[in-house]
Amino acid sequence: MLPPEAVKELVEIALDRELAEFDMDANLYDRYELNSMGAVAMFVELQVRTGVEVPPEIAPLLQTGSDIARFVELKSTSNSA
Amino acid sequence: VTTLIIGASGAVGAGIAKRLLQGKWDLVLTSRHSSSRADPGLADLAGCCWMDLDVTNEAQTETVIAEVGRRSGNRFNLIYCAGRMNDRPLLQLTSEDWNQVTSVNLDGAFFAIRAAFQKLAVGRTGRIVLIGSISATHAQFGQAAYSASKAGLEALCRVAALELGRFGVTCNVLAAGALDDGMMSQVKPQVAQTISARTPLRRLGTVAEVAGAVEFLLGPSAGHITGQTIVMDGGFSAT
Repeated sequence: MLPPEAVKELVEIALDRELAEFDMDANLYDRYELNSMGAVAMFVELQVRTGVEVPPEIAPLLQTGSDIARFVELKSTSNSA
Repeated sequence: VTTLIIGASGAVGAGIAKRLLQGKWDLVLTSRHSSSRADPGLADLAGCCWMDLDVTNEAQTETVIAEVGRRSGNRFNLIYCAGRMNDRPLLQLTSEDWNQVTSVNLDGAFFAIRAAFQKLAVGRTGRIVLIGSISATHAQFGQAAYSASKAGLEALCRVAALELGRFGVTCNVLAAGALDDGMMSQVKPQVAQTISARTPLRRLGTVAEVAGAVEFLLGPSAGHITGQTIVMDGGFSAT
């Protein structure tokens, strides 16, 4: 499971700024004003750090930090199975 | 780092491949069919890794680029040389003519860049070079589709450079003028003579010169060049 601190770091990279606090269940686009290019950067960084690739058709479905953590867990489980 | 050359069986693509092969670059080459690789002029490239690719086929493009990504660990360059010319005056240009030219020259480049985007971003080293033409900015009779497609390629390049820049990936167009041994071999000799006469250097370019410029764009000296159209036309467009 990707810890909240790791997800927060990814979002900070995407936003190019630090976040004082981070809610794993908040919508990244609404609460933190993540845009589509920032999201691309976030998922690229996720792949660099974890090896988990987020296909372009899946990316829009991952709206919160929890969504991202669950996706990584799911992919990690299916890869190790 | 692997270099993928899309459209390597044409004169320009093959010339680039031969140049890079001499420089010991690791290459993956594509052509539409295996039959198009039977040309004796491609004998030097027979030992390279070739893959079939119809650039108008999105799914096939994604498959080829996924394979190159796997093979290279997402550290690869993309050179797009696939091109088609079908000159007709506007009044005689059918939508089929238009689509045949733009699908190869522009749509195919879009499919390739989109398929490569995330992989290049993860690899953080890639260079994209798109082979353009001075026809993008200088009207030539009968080249509505060709000119529009090459102009579109330049615009696509600028956006790709903007979106890929933060990942360290560059994207440039090399806009060639008329080449002695490129598509000009399909036109009447008088046309080549007329162009030569209007060119400050008084001659057409060569595929070898295009290949040299591409190798420069792939090299470390070009690391800060992105979103640009590099014109190589003997000064034709300067007049």
